[in-house]
Formats: sequence, structure tokens, C-alpha cells
Amino acid sequence: MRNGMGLRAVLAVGLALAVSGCFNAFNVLDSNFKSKGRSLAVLAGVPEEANVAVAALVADELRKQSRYQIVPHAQVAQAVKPYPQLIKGPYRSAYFAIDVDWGLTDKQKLTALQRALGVDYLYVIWAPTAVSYGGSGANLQLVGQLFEFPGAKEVGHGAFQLLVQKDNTTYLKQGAEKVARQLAEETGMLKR
Amino acid sequence: MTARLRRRFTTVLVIVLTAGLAACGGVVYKPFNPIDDKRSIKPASIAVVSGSHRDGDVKLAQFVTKQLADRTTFRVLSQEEIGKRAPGYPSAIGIKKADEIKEDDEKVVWFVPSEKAKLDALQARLKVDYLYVVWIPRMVVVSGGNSGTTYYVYPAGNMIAYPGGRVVASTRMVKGSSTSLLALFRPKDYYIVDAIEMSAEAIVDEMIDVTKSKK
Repeated sequence: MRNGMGLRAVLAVGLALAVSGCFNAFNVLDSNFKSKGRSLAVLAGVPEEANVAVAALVADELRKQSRYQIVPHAQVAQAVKPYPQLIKGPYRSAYFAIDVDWGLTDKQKLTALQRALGVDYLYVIWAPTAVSYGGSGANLQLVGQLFEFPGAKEVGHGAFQLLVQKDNTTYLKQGAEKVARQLAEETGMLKR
Repeated sequence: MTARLRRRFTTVLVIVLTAGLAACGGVVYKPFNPIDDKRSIKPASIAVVSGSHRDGDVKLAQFVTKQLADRTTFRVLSQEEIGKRAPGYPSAIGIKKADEIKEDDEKVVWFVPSEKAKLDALQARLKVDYLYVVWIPRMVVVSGGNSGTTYYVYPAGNMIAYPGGRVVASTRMVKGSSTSLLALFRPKDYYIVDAIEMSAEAIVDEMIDVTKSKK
């Protein structure tokens, strides 16, 4: 019985965290980081609708909340052919959870994409899997990495979840707001 | 149901891995089911293609490819060769939604009709007699009680014959793999990958039966 209560508690906490969007989506690797450039493009790393939608939402929120000059998503799709396209991401596998390895990202490909976009920073979001706990909707499992150019130097990263529901984008939008805010805060680029 | 049993069921934690909000596998167990029993499927050249870049789909395509190459007289295109001939592989082949598929349908055509053009274009590059496209639209982990944790996968697939592009076979099934004490010493994904590998074995067992293609 106690075991069952524990499981239910874990499930409840998991759902509550997903719904509330209480997550740590972004941390800089160097606490002394100072942004050298301003232009930033957000890319989806997995060519799927949900991933592209999240990338577009985060880009919109970064435009509102940060001092970065954000490349509009439509412009990204024009400059990068094809877009979206699969970019090898920072994970070994992604079944029920993402098995993260931050060193696995295809930096060569990112460098080529950065050349096409001509930006100082690329923030790439991967959503390789989604998990449902039996209710409506699913928890999109995501990882994101920010790179500085030239050099494709990793500035920061994070792993998080966003709740996606059919015909209801409220939680997704709230999640995107938080991701953008954390990235802007951590890199010292939050609008005042 | 006794109160004790009811309590036990409520303690079971069920987590479902979904391909977006796509179709689920149901309870049908048909690893390889010809659409028309009167038309024979003969061993010839074949490419097993993943229905998306998701790890489950890619892994299933890899395992079925290996099993077919090892155990049958089909001339099997390797996954590397598919990647060389079809840049951008694997790309997403859209699968129908759950409410578009009958629960007891044993001959499901899984892909959305508008996706057929993508498959035809892929075949034109691969130049094989058969395309066998596979997905795992649903994975479930059931954890709790005294039974440990079991990982279930629900593979789906269609074999398409060329020229003509006719769907000649369907896959709809479920396989599970349960953790043991050895789980402590095994990789994180061991049991889910095990369930996928067992699915590939079951698919190829049936394929051998249907096509008389045993090496």
C-alpha cells in the first residue's frame, strides 16, 4: 500500500511539474559569460511539427523578453534549406526519456547552418520523444543548447518537458515563455 | 473485483510513449499479415524503411533488416545503403490517427493516403521490389505491484510491392520485455530495445512462413 502511494505521489508530482512548467530549461556553462553578439536564431533539431512549433514559440518569446535580435522563424525557413531538418542532437537515445550526452551534437552541421543564417548565436531545441501518463495530451521531452559563433562554442544547455494537448496550446505557450526567460536571464540579456 | 485487487491495480504506474498523438496498436497480434491471401509474396529485393527518425522506428528497421539478411533469401538493402541512395533518410511517413483505425483491423494500411507519393519516390531511389515501412507508434511501460517493470512496444508496418505500389502485407502486434534483477547491470534502454528486437524476430518468423524464404 505504501509502495502504491509512493508511485501515485511520483506520478502526481511529475504531472504537476509538467503542467506548471516548473523546470530548469537553461543554464550557462560559464557563470562569467557575457554576450559578445546580438543576433540569434532558434532552430528545431527534429523535423517534426511539435518541435518546429516549440522552436517558433521560443523565438517569439525571446523577441519579447530578451535583448537578442531574433531571426523570425519564417526567415529561418527561407535561409535554411530544407527546414526543418534533422540535426544530430546531444543524446544517445530517446525512448521514454532522453539519454543526454551534451558532446554528441553535430557541430559541423550547426556551423553550416550558422553560415546560412549569419547569426552570432544558434539556440537549437530537440524534441525527439513524447510521453503520456494516460491522460489527455503528452509530455514532450526536450533538450536545448545555445552555441556562440564563430567556433560553435557551447554557451549553455538544459533538458526539460512541455505538456502538449490537442486543441489547447496554453501550457506549451507558458512553457516557451519560461524557456525564453531563463535563457535571457542566464545569458544576461533579459529586457529591463 | 476484491478491494485488495482493486488497490493493487491502482498502484500500477502506466507511462505511454506516443508518436505525437498517433494511432495505437490495439490488441491484434499479426506480425506479418498478407492483405490478399490469394496473391503470393515471393522473395526478391527489399528495403526495410523506418517510418520516422524516432529511435524506436529506426531500431525496428535495423533489426528487421538484419534478421531478413541473416535468415531469408530476400535480397536486403542495408540501412547504410538506403541512407546513401536516399539523402535525408529517414524522413517522416505520416501515420493515421487512432480514431481512423478499427480496433480489430488485422490488415491496417497505416500510412496516410497522401504519404503514398513519398513512399513511391523513396522506392524510385532504392529500386527494390518491396518496401517494408515500419513504425512503433506506441510504447508503454507498466511499473509497480510485485511484477516489476514491463516495457511494451506496438510495432506497425506495411509491405508495398513494386511496380504498382500495392500494399501487400500489414503488421500490427505487441511485444513486451520485463525487467529482472539483472536490470541493475544492464544499459538503461536494454528492455525496450529487447522488446523491439523480439518484435523483429516475430515479424521475420511470419515473413518466412508466408513467403517461404527461409535460407
